[in-house]
Amino acid sequence: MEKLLVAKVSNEIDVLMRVSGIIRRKGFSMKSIHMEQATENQANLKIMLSYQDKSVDQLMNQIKKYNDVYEVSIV
Amino acid sequence: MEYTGAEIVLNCLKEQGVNTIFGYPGGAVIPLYDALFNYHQDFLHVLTCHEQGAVHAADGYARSTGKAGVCFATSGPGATNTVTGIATAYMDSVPLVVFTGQVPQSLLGRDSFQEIDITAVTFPITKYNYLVKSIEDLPSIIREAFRTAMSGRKGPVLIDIPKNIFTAKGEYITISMFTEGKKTAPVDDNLLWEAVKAIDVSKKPVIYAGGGVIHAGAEPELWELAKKASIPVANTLMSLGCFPMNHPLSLGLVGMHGHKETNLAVTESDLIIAVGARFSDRVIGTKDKFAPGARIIHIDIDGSEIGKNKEVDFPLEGNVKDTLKALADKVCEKDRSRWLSSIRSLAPKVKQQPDAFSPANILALAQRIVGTDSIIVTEVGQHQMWAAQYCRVDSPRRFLTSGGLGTMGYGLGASIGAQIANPDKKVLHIAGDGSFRMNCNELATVSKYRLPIITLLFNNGSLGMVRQWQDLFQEKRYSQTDLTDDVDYMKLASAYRLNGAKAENLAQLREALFKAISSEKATIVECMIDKETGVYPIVPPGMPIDNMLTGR
Ligand SMILES: Cc1ncc(C[n+]2csc(CCOP(=O)(O)OP(=O)(O)O)c2C)c(N)n1
Ligand SMILES: [Mg+2]
Repeated sequence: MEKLLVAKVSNEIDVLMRVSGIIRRKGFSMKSIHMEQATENQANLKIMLSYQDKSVDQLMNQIKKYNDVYEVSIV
Repeated sequence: MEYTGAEIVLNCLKEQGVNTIFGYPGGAVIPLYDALFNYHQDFLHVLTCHEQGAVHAADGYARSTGKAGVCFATSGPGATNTVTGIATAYMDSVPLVVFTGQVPQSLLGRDSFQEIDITAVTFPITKYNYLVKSIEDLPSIIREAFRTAMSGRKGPVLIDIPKNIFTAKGEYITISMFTEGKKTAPVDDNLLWEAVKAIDVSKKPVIYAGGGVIHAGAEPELWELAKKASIPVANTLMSLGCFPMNHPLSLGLVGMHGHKETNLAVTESDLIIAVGARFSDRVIGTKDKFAPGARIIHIDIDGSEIGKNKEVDFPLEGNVKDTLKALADKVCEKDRSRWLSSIRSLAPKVKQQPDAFSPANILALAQRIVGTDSIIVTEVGQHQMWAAQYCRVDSPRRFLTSGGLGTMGYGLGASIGAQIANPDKKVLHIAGDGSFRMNCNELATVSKYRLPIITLLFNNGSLGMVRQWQDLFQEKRYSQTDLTDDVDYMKLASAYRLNGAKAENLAQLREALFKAISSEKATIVECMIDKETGVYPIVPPGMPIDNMLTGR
């Protein structure tokens, strides 16, 4: 299964490490990753997830918790 | 007004109501300690022997008070030494704010002396962390750090501060108290009513209470719900004390070393009400056979826990205290005496030999002498499980133990923090010989601060818990679990100018404990235990929790 994760995040590399770290630990794979500055402090993060027998909702619930993730959804 | 970064840190701590810091100095935090020199009236700084001990002490302070624990460490090895302590707090949702010094910004990224990328190291074991990049950010980062540590599901936060920021000057304006964190939305009313209906029709409900009950201060609401609807309460290791154990509705410990009747009650139940608990493998054994006939209500402030380890029928994401209150108000008053007496009938008829120097008798006697209002702090191993099974814990924040990470060496540091936070209470440190050896360097701290901690050292000459697994599951191939008799713990105690006493029977133990109490001095009471004594019941790992080995 493949799904695109889209998030508004802080414009810092830290958030990329947090998000990719939790994706790794929950056993998902990534097909692609893209992060682009949007405003002075914000960036858009897009990750194409690839996975089997996993709950993407569980992953979302984890990612939502970080202070530097402002919005996250699956499209 | 203009302050140095170091002064800003200390002012922000004052603002947060912090008066106790556990820490250890070093090059990168020399400016911070220099400022502390001027603020000595505002803070008690407890100097430990090792940064791990400092973090465990801050953790014991936090668990025993409900306040955030605060810790200072230097860069490099100081920072890496905090890692086990931070991970321990993270796994058990304990609020800490850990400050580490960092090399000056001009030296970052050059493998400079004592440079470690501690924010990268601690990403997976902190709720959040910061590398401070400019002095302007410092006050807001510290305030946000406390808010993050204390709000929602609590946890440790680390702030890494480069040395030049400690000495830079910046603006700081006092604010009165810290602002409330994000308010969680109340649970949806329809969901709540569905859960109420499920409780009302249930014939065999069990409350499965986790550490979240204590973190939320929701014991009164739990009590109301349990009493009104006559629902028995099973405890995880983290929730011991959230419900008085002398009450007939108390079932005590559930899970791998849970009581027989408790595990069977959960297995037979038709409704599990999980409150601030996370369906850990040490509790549920195996996911599909945990309470197989039950519907499940899960109340938790952390949405990511709901459905993580076990599917639930009624997900109630929200503040545990408010949700329990709402349930307690809405459920029908019920008499469930048949369910309760059928649970009671499942309890094994144990005949304790009254004179045996057994873990049960040792702990019962120790509690009788030291008092049930004492704070029990454990290490990790068999002694920890015996304490969880046999100690009577009637109020919250009186049983401190490393549940999620299972950190040997946690207990002595945590005892120090608990005793400093609660000078009027007795602290009973229950240790195994293996765990004690891990961090017994902190006896110097116990001695320095004259903390009257009583250590009950279960000396079974072995890494007993691992040995027990080897006994049961590895055909008695005891690989590297015998400790032999190479330490004289009595001499060790006296080397630190502490008292020691050895007990081989209950009479000696009684005398040693009375002496320890009246001396008001830290005492190591070494109890000689047979290494073959096991922890029972035990559920073999990965088995359903009604599959208990009850002894050999
Ligand atoms: C830091 C750490 N290392 C290893 C372990 C694995 N472990 C769990 S219990 C145990 C034995 C503990 O021995 P002791 O403290 O003497 O307690 P006992 O089981 O004998 O009561 C070990 C080695 C651990 N939990 N923590
Ligand atoms: Mg031992």
